[in-house]
Amino acid sequence: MTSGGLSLETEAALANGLEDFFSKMWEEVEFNMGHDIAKFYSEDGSVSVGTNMDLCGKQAIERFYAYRREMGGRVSRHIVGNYRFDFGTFLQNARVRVCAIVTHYGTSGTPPLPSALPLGIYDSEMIFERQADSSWRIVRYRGEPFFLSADNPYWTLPEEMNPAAREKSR
Amino acid sequence: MTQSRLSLETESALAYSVKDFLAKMWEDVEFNMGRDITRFYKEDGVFSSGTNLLCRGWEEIETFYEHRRGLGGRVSRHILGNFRFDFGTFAEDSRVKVRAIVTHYGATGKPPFQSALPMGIYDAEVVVERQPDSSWRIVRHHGDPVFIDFNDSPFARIPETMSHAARAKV
Repeated sequence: MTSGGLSLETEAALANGLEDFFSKMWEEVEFNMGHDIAKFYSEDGSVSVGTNMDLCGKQAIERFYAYRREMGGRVSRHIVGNYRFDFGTFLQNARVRVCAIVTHYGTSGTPPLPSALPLGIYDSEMIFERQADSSWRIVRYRGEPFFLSADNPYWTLPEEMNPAAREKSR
Repeated sequence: MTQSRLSLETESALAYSVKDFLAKMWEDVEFNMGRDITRFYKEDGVFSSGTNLLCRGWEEIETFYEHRRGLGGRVSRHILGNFRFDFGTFAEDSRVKVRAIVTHYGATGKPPFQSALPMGIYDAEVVVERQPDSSWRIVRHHGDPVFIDFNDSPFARIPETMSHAARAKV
């Protein structure tokens, strides 16, 4: 039995399911431009990155991906590594806290594109919740930038998505 | 049944647990400056890299991380990928041989940093041993550099006294 009160086999199976789910969320972003992103988040799910991006609720998350599509021809890959799982509250609330490192490459155009430095490397913390039908939803996704490139669209997000810009215009 | 005579479910559960353990070892290095590094190694565990770093046992491993803290403001991320597991001797000695690729980014200061090349990419080989309480300890951890940033070599800051080469000279 692990510290989460689950068998190691159950933890491993849940962890595998979570890695698959999170990869499929990024697959949705990379290959479907986030058209169906809402199905990966809970109704009040949130995404925040550093000081420049803050999205609360499915609608705000959908608006961000609509904005990204309008930028035209964006291409990205978000590669996830160093998963660390915390099943400590899973038996009480069906939630799992997961930390990972996300390496983000991106540009605009048609692949193959010239090899380049990452647009960002983020220390990421996610809260996932298992649903009654055994699917997962993201409750919270927080990225703390370790590396950032000047080309990252993060620097030019519209004010309604950017708490730092809102603060400045006050 | 697999070659190791463990069930596939058992191998999968152990692999998950070892990946989580190694990611948490690096988490201690990245976010806790290696202050608790000894709880990840056996008392006589060995940590080495290329020909320039050799730490034998807790005391030497701690001395290395103390030295690293003394450099002031070092920040790193070691991103693991391409795990390959060998459970061949697990039934006899509770040990698993793990190979992986480690991509190492580093800088000095406060994140976020300007995006940069990796300082190193290493072929890593780690032997871990399962303890009676089901936790893991590292017996041996070796990283062989494939790529090194020679303008900012991770080995440049390692005192000679911690290297294989210096010991060979004595």
